[in-house]
Amino acid sequence: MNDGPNNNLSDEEAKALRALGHDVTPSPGLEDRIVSELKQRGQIRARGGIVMQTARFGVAAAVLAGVFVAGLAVGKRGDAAQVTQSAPVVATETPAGNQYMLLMFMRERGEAPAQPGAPATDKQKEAMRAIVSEYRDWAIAREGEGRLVGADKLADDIRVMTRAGGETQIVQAATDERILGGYFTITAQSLDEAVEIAKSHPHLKYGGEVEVRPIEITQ
Amino acid sequence: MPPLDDVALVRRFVRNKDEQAFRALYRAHTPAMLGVVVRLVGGRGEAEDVVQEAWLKASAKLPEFRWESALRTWLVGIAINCARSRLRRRAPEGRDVELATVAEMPAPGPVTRPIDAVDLERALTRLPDGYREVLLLHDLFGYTHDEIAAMLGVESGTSKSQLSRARSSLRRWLAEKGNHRERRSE
Repeated sequence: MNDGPNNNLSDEEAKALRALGHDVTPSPGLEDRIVSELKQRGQIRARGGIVMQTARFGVAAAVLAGVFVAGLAVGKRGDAAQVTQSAPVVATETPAGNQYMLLMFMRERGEAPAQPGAPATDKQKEAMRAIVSEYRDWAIAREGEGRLVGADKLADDIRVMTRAGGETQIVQAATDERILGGYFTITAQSLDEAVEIAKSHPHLKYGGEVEVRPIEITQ
Repeated sequence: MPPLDDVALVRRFVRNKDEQAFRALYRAHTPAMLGVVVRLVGGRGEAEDVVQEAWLKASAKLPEFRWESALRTWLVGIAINCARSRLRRRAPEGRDVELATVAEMPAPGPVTRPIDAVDLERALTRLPDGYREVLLLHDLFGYTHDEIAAMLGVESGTSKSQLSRARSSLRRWLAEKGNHRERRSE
């Protein structure tokens, strides 16, 4: 580039000017404000309407409910009286068998209320409660059969790490199509039986995918 | 899982109105847009309003984007246009008078002493908008004249001549400031 003999920058000028030009990280709320506006304008699809949105949220809440029930199972062994008071769980012996993980996949990122801070409508809350109680009932039933080993909800802030040429790369998974929202671990005699048990999980009814995987015992 | 490139993300956003694709585009390009806009309008809050407006405009125009420039260049150009509209709505601050006074001073050569960042910032805010845009984009953010021409919708030659004038004006302001300093320290 040539701006004329007298108009190239001196080193001092170039350095001072360059030091003032840098990217600026936006405030955390700006992204959601823009997305919300684009949804209102119909330029981003507000997916699935009320049932799917609450279903996705419901998965999170219900898997948490699973943790609660799993917690009871642990407590039951230590203090039977306390558990009898706090939940209608029928205590049975854990059936012998292997452990299987039921991995709860969602087709898209789980979502808290669309606009941060916006309270859910009564209709949404009601739909969510209904879904949560379905998941909870499923978990309680498996607990009653002595099959429930554990459950956890996974948050959807995902960091994918790989190593290439001795260098570790970490990227945020922002464009995923299918993410793991949580899991239930149960016992069953065989993979086929585990699949049969998983068939009744309400996650399938609400459009989620369930992957059934045997837990391998390593020697 | 490497981040998808702009073309794939834009396609997903335009075709499917896909939220995650938009968010990925937003995250990739907003810091660059905001960097330029903060320099143009001054305040951070106002700059974010401008960037929001720019994204809304860009989203509506994306289906017609022909990839004749890089997406980043196009987005920064839209952000600059939004910043211009906002600056136009502000009350004039006597800039023309200041400019006329300064334009009569002889243009000094390149500054070879260390430059105080505060003086430089002040001098930048005093440049007329047209000069300032080109100087910011070229000398602060490192865009080429071709990129600047695409952003501002001007010829590449216009970008070059405006940069030359912008640098001269800037040097006059800095020389002014330097003279004040010397006089005060005497």
